[in-house]
Amino acid sequence: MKLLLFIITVGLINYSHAADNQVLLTGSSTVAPIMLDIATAFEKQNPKSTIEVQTGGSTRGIIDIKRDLSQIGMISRDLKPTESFLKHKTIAIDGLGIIVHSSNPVKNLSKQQITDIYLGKIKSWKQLGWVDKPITVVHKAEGRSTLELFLGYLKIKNSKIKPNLIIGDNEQGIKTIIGNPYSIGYVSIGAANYNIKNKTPLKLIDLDNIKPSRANIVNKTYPILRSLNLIYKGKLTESSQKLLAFSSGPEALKVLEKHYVISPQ
Amino acid sequence: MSLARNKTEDIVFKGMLLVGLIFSLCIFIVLFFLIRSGGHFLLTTKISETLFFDKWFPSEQLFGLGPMIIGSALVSILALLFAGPLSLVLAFFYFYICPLKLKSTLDIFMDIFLSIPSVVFGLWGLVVVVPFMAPLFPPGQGLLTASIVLAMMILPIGFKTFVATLKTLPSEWLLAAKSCNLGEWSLFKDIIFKSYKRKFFVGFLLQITRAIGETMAVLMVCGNIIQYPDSLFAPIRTLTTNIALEMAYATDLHRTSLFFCGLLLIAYVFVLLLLSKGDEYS
Repeated sequence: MKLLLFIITVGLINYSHAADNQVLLTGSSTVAPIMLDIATAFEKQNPKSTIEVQTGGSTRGIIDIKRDLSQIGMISRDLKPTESFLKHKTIAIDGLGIIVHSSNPVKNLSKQQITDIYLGKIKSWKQLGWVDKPITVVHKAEGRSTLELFLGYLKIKNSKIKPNLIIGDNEQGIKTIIGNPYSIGYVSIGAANYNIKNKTPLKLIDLDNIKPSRANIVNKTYPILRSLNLIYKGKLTESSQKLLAFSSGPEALKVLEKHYVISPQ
Repeated sequence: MSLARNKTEDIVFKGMLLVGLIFSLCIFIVLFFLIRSGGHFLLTTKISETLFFDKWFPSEQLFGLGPMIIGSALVSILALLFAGPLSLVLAFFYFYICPLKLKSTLDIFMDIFLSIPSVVFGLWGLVVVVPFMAPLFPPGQGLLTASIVLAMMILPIGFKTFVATLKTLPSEWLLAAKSCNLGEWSLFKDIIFKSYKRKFFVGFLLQITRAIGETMAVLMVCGNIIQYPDSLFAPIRTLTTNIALEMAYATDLHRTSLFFCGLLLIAYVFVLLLLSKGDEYS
């Protein structure tokens, strides 16, 4: 019993001691890989601090901040009016890209065609000028901010959509598309480009003849855009403040480029 | 308390009793927590609108769990159908027919299999099984793919239990069988299986409860579509994957409905346990 008390006490002392230089970030699976790289660069400059990044989606980012479970939250959407008591800092702009397998010859789809595919009106690739194979429609699970953005763009209710597969995070979505040449899905443009650069058989297609390119995101002609935000409550520890400042600095810019997302400046 | 027990034994006994009590208490705490969190869901929605309803759109306040209950049941039963008999036959082969050299290889192989984390099985399913199935039976992820991956996972569990069971077999039986010139197959079918049916049943039970509780591996290969499957290749969603997919995002009533899913899972395992016990006392 005494031993147990001893262990608990030591643990508590250690925890409170470490808490000053410790920053925990939780939230969006789109922002997490970017923040993980920014945190690594930050730790190199500030060897005393330890940054921990956990995913779980934008909603988790918000809930954790509300309950004081994390210092900084990551969300891949704007704050809703009900969440306006939180402060935010936009670290990057990202678009939502339509992805297919790289063997797919289709280069461009209109908004109407995508709507018809997701409503189950277009069922075969033949109707889009390819082979007569059924389209495998890959959709996101309820509650993801990527899904909300996509539905907001198409302006349809989730219950109207007729998906063939439902996936959780970006990585699973990309693996699913690779595994099935007749599938179509949507994912963060940053994540898609990052995978394409690493020789993944994946292809981003144009939307209404607008290329999901860097230039089109910067001048905001690409139709599905979103900001990637860090959120926090009023008071921040010194380390958290430093990290926030760091995430818009020159080091962070390099990370953004590596992940193919655009800096907000 | 027997007189023979000395002080050390007494301490060990008390220690074990304490550990046992803590463990059983844990189960009750988990159950209490689930009922407290999921019970609220039952009070606010009608049972007929959840258990037998097939529309699940939490953002539109529709909570139909029917397809997921069926999905969980089907996928675990199918996995057991694949892995159960195979693991039993494999255990029998290991025990009576297998040459000594192969025996140690099989041992190591099964141990490795047992220790592979479930995410790895899921990833294996997603990058190996799914691309193989996708062109043949689109979309490739679904009931059959999920039960194949699950079957791989529960095979070594059955194998280990059955080998342990076969070890308890009286050696006189084997001698008697040999002296009657019984072949291996009839020894297995007519003698061992008939008299050890109940013990084997426990092994099957272990396998199916593992299958029903598995989450990560199933999540990656089952397709996660909420529907009653109309074929072996149709995508499904199970209760466990529903919790894993949506818990991080769920708030309010949606969140309590996911706790209710957990409660249903416990109920499913409980029914299975009752089935095995009922057999024991009849």
